Amino acid sequence: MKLEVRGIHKQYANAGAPHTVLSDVSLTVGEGQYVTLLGPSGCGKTTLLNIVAGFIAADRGTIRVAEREVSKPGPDRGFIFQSYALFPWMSLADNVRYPMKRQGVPKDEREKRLDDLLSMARLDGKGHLYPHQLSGGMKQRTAVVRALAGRPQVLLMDEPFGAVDFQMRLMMQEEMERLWLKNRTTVLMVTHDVQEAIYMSDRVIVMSGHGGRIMADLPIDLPRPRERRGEIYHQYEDQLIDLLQQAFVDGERP
Amino acid sequence: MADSEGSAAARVRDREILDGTRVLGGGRKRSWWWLLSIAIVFAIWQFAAYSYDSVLLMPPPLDALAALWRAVRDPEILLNMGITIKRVLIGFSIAMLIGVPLGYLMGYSQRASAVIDPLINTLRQIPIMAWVPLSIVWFGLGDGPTIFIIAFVGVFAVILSTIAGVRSIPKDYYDAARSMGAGRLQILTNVILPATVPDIITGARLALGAGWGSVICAEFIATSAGFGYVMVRAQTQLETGTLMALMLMAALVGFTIDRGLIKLNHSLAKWRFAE
Ligand SMILES: Nc1ncnc2c1ncn2[C@@H]1O[C@H](COP(=O)(O)OP(=O)(O)OP(=O)(O)O)[C@@H](O)[C@H]1O
Ligand SMILES: [Mg+2]
Repeated sequence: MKLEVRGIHKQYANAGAPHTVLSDVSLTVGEGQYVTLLGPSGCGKTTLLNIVAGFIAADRGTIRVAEREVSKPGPDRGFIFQSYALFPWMSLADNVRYPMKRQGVPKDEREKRLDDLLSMARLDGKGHLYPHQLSGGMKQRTAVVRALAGRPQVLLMDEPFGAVDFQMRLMMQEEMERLWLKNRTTVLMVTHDVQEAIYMSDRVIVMSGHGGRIMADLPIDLPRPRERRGEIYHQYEDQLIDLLQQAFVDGERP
Repeated sequence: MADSEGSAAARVRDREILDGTRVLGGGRKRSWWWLLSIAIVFAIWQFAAYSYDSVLLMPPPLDALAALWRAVRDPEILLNMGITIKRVLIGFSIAMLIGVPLGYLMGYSQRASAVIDPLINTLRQIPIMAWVPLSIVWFGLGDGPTIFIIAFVGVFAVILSTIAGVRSIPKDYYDAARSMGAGRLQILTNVILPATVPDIITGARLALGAGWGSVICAEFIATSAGFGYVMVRAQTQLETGTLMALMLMAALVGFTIDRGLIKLNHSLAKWRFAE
């Protein structure tokens, strides 16, 4: 479903010197689009995503999911945390069942969806394991299918591949693309990695380093499943690196 | 917080607490070194008994063990042990019933914590045995003052552990639950309760340990029944061997209670110990 962000303002009252993190941010993610938010550290990406999720309140502006205005967190927006936030006291399967239970999905339907999701994420036969018994990649896949289990209209992700090494990161991105191609959920993902943004997204939205504005909105026109090479890929790379540099310089100016 | 769902640090802490008792518990790494330490204690004891050469001051270990064997079959001693255990369990239950809800409240609400914290910290500074005379004034002799002492000494451990448990829940867990459709009540029952079970059991172990540690002392003064009373009687009758046997019995009971709670932790928070 479509996600619309309109005129979002957010200020923090940092000890008398108010700090504007987001000023009049608007963006739209079309149905079934994979959009990433790219920007220098501290530019307000997490803040914006948390406002969309309803975890924190904006000072001004509206969020609409499928034309319906939202302000609190809800199962219409699935969230994948950088820490994954799997419940350690629940087995993998119970973690994935949790959003379905909260939404009152009947038991038969629930177990069927669980089996489908686990096999989609290549986690069959692992359902009885607890989170601390899973590898980083398995945790990430569990977090993805847990978020998908509630059939959200929009999937929000805050640097879901941030906490792992390079090789693992590439593997997780490919895994995520594979899962997404099967579902085509509307996605808004935060990253500060240029290659990741190009590899994953239909569109990359670049935020400026200061003042919380959107600097550029770049469609990525590459066939899927994607490859990390080719002339066009590298053109996008150059273009985004330039934009990020600009965004960074933008941040230097008060 | 990168590995928040693993609670790795908490797990390690649990393991370390466990390690202190694993030697007798038959965990994976069964070790027999404890036999050596017991042998050393008995050797020193035997040597001391030999040097003093007085059954009154220092009966030899074998005499004490024989007295222990008599004591564990003596119905009167067992009855008094039962009285003491009952007091401990009642006092401990009161400590839990008051401490856990208060701990949740203080862990969850900064304001409640700001109000209650100074009160608790003040009360905590009064040595527990200093309460005995006043508790006799309030409750008379017998069960009343002992139960009061046990509940009082235990409640702080329960409160502090529960607060620590609530405060160590990552904010992401609350957000995750809310974004999956959980309401306030479900956040309490599905997130806060299970996440704090291990800390509450840690608090329970401390409370029971402290309760067991102070009840006997309270019974010296405030009662005419119970294990402490039996000990005072053995002392006045100059039965030092029996006295030592009773001390060993007290240690065994304390140890058994603690093992029971570790077992309970394993079954209530089995997610932490899955290999
Ligand atoms: N609770 C808060 N109180 C005050 N200031 C805050 C708070 N949360 C965030 N900020 C500030 O808002 C700005 C944006 O933070 P945010 O976490 O959204 O950045 P980010 O783009 O996600 O950065 P990163 O890429 O490092 O994760 C930062 O300058 C930060 O210091
Ligand atoms: Mg961030």
